[in-house]
Amino acid sequence: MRAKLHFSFLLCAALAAVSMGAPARAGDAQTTQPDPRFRVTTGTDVRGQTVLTVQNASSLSITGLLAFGSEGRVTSLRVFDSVMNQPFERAIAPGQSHALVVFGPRRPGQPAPQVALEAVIFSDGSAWGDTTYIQKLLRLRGLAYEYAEQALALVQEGRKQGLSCEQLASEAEQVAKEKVQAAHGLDERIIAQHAYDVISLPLRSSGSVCGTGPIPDILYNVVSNRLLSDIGALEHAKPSVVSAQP
Amino acid sequence: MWRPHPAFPILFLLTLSAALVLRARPPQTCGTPTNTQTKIYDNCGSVEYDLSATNGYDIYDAGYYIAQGACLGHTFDCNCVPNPTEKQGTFTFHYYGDRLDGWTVWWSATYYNLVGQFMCTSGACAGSGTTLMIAQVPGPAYVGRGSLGACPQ
Repeated sequence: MRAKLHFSFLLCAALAAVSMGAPARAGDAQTTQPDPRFRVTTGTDVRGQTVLTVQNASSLSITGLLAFGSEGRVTSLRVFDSVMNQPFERAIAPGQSHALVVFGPRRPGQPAPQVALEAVIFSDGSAWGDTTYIQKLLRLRGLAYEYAEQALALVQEGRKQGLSCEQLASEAEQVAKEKVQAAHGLDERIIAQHAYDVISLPLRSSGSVCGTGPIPDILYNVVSNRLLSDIGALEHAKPSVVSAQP
Repeated sequence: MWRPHPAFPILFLLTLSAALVLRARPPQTCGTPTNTQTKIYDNCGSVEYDLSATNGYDIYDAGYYIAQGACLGHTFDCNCVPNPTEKQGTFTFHYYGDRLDGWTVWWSATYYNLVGQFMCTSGACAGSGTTLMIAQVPGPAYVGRGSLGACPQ
């Protein structure tokens, strides 16, 4: 009997310990509707991650979201942008939802982080939220447009000069270094680095296909089409970009 | 028959509590951020990572991310030699800041998702097409970023 009691006690203790570190507490979800155009749900997913989900209740697509979270001295900023991150992200269509992981699984004893949706941008350029964060999203788009145009000019010039993959990749890396050093603030540094990564990474990873001669057509097309596609998408969102200029 | 000591449950709980406290306590030294990328799974065409960073004092847990990639057995070079493909995305860790003001940390992802045909002009496969996988870079804000506090003075 005593052994049985011990066993039950140990089992309860073990289960309690497991549940402290385990995810899956769907019951903590909280839904609010700060604007008739969308609903926001915050909670813990099955892995114990802190997730913020936005459901589009409007007749327009949502192209940008920004969520901010804090957990003591640590903060987390999560961005969704279907214009800047095309073709990897698609706009959130009416009725659809998008989830942003703001923090990974909580450690035992760690309090729940504070999480909030700060900005939403719709496909017609209208926006909801904190002006600072809306401007941040729009400024990122503006910078992405500016740097993609500069990167495309570099590729086109390299093509004219008959540069090899190695030469163009080196030039892109060098320009990236200079642009990142001259950038104002972290957002611009990240965008500048990214614009030139779009050139150098494919060229560097294409191995023997490149050779020592001028860049093969396929690689030139991949890089320039990607930049043209980025520019096209960002240009389409230009009313937002223009209004974001400080 | 084995019988546990009467104090066993209490000792067990004490040990468990100590382990949990030790696990939750941040490391003792504070300095340049480092990151941990744990591969959760590596299916054909996608790989999932658990990303977190620490400056030794604060921990920023960015959660789980899936990097999509193409799913091919291999591509061929111009000598008709199969190349192992880099089918999965990878994450590169970045940080900016210092001990006094704290750090911003982020990851950029590279996705390998485009396959093209390339006409070889030399090598054993000259004159024939070969398949080529080309890296594509997702947008800069694909993976979120976080901040770690300054080191205590």
